[in-house]
Amino acid sequence: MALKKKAKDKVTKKKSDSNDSKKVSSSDNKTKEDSDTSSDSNDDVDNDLDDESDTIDVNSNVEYNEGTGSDSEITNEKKLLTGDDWNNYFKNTYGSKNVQWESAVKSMDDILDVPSDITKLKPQQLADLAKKEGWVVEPLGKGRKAGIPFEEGGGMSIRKLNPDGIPTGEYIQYHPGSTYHDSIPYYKVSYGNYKGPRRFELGGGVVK
Amino acid sequence: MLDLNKELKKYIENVIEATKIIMASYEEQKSMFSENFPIADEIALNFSDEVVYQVEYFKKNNLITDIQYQKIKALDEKLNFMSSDKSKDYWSIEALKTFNEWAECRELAKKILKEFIK
Repeated sequence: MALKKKAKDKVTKKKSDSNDSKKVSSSDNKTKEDSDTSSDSNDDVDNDLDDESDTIDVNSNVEYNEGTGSDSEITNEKKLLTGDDWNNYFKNTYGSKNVQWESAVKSMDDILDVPSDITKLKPQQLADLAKKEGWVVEPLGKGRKAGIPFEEGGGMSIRKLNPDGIPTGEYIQYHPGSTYHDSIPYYKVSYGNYKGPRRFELGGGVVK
Repeated sequence: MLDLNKELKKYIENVIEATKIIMASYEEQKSMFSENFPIADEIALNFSDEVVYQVEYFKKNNLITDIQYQKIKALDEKLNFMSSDKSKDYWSIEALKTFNEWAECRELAKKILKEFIK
């Protein structure tokens, strides 16, 4: 019940279109009710959401009760909720197709500006963002995983093109590693402002 | 407006850097990357990403010579063959150390460097 109450506090109706789009935000959607309820427990929720993502969009027609949850249902018990907990909660509540997590990385250029930010994205999120911005997404060109599509366990070679369709030289790579060779998956970011490409473990560590 | 000279300078730096990695001995290559890293894959991918992908552009604009272009393509074709030939595992750390194909790659890389460092 406490979980439901906390989640409800984070939901505000978005009146941007006629589809009853709902947006859940960890940072900017403070409702009046937020200020009326315990700020400590809400801070916990904010931090937990930040672990996974900044915001989520919930585009659905499901109904939710803005006024449910009496004070008697709210306990003072604090429970640490992980990003996975929240993901599961929202998907169970609204349906998995109606929950989409937005990452803190808003554009591919954000990654070029701060290469380590790539570790905030999962490979599928990276692929989706790259395609959305018109970058070329292909399987790796060489090596053990050459030619194997990402969807089939391969990696990704992601390239930026200029308006004339010519490669700019800026690229991002995802290599899934190899269980056979006991090697780790990693990202690589190459941008002209840096000397040589930079490599990162998916978990965030820098690899040389 | 593209600054071709600046682009070419950057490209040549990339060619030299990526080619040196392929030309390096097994021990040097191993020391360049973290443990549990797909080193052989990354060496080939790095050459492909930093050098091969843009070579047509620089050739088309006559910014590199025919010989430079051919030397790059020769190594590219060798690596492509190794990537498509599934009869041998060219991508293990052992292969990098012992396979003749990698020795041939080192020789081809040496020829590229000879054309770019004069």
